[in-house]
Amino acid sequence: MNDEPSLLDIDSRVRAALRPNDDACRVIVGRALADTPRTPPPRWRGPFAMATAAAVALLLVVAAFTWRRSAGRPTSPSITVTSAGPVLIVRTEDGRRWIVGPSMSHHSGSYAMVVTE
Amino acid sequence: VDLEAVATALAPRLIGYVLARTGCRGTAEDIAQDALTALVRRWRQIGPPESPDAFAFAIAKRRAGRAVARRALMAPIDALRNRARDEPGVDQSYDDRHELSRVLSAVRALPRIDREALLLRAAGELSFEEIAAILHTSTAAVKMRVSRARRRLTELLAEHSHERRTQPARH
Repeated sequence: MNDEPSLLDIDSRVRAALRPNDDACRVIVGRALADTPRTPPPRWRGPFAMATAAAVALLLVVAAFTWRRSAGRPTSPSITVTSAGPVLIVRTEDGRRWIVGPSMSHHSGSYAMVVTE
Repeated sequence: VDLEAVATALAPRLIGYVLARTGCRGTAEDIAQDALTALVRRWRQIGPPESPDAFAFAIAKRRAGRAVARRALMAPIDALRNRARDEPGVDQSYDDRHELSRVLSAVRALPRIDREALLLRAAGELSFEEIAAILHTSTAAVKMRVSRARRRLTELLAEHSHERRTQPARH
């Protein structure tokens, strides 16, 4: 796309209007060239960073797994089981009791459970 | 290719380009400094880039964009603090400043994509291919944008001159 010369003049006008002063340019170039090259990163930095990242990721996974297990599992109430002959008495912390004993009918051989407050 | 010669040739173009983007001479000099420093570091560490101009202007373009965005965010705070943002150098004559402000206001009236292409061409003096690489578009599209921007800018500046001529003198 060829622009006519009058249109190309607009470039010169823009350039002239934006032209900075020479001192500013000299200062900028001098500072840029004076910049000492940065020391290259040590060779161990890459593998070390990867190992650290892997360790952190593993730690996070383990922590999340542990948390999920502890959160998902209902905590069982502590109970006390005592026996008195053929009868078992189960007591919970809140005072409820289960008494489990042999059935009254001798021929069945099964157990019956009695709940008492 | 000599690094110092490249940097010397790039500096005024970078400052001009960023000045057009940001409207602030101090910011323009800071960003030009950063872009040149990045070029120098790259050059010394792994050799010259394929196109030093495109390398430096790509950095300047990114940073100028950030500076404009930051200024837009900070403008209300700066206004409260009554901070002067765009102080022209004392060595600039009135005419220079006036021409700069006229050109800047006309450039800002251009559509963003056309403005960017024109500034990289006019102020940055980059080739169409380099501009296409920086703007991630085709050379043909860049040529079209630059041509369109030139026409529009010519019209805008002509309108501005006409307004000035027809404006009644103030006493």
